[in-house]
Amino acid sequence: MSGGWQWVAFGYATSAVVLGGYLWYLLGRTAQAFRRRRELG
Amino acid sequence: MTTATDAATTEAVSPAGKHWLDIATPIAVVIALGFAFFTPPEATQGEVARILYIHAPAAWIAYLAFGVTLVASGGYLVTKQMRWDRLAAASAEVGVVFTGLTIALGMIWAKPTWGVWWTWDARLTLTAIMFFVYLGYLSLRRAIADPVARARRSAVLGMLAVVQVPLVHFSVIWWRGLHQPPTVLRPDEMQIDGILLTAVWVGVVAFSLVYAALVRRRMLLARLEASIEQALRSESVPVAGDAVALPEVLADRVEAS
Repeated sequence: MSGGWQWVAFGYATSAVVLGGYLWYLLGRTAQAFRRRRELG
Repeated sequence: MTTATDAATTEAVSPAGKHWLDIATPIAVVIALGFAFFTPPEATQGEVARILYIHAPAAWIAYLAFGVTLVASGGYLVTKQMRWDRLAAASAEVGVVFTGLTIALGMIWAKPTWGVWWTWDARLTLTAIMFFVYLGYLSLRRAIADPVARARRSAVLGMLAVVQVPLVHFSVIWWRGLHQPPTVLRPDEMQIDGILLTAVWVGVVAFSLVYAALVRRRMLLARLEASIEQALRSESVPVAGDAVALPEVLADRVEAS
């Protein structure tokens, strides 16, 4: 099989979206919880 | 009133907190990408095989994550310490992310290689079942308000669910299907060339660091959420305004305190 770089790019881009998206979600939720914790004193 | 412990907890879980993993992980990922893109193309699959340099490590890290959930669940049941529960939950959540990624990468590899995105092969089917069972584990955690009951019940499920890991791994040996047998983690001799194997192992190291960094972040969040839960219970702060009542279990505790 020759070529196939488009599938490789698709695969690595998917990984970046999945792991980066999860990290973003975690950081967002952490910042939100941190603010809430400070509000509660 | 804020206690010294509360303040220390809030300080310790500050989102701005830096850790060596935050530096080492992106460096390892860049090195792994270098190996993945600059190794020679695989003899029969060509360039598409480069997807396997992250597909296989993602699957192994999912195994690792669910193994950690098993150990941490046992740790909780033995010691009753909530940090074990937080580790079990964090590892399961990150494991679900890696399992989802494994499935997605497998599909992207399968389309140009097998000609289909998905087939009901034993390995693929069991991996999908494992994904949904651990999603169920995460759902169970969200369904129980009492932290102690939540930790106990999810620890039991966390210990039972791990039986799927050997089922998934050995499915390609036990049942003949389309998915290839193990190339690296096999009982006899490995069937992969040195440079390609190096790319796989570098990927494993990078994803191990990604896993550790994400679990650490998730545990920090869990600690923050636990301290919020504790503050709400001890100070009778409304959860979401007067229209929403505290769950019965928590309301009883607030009254008792």
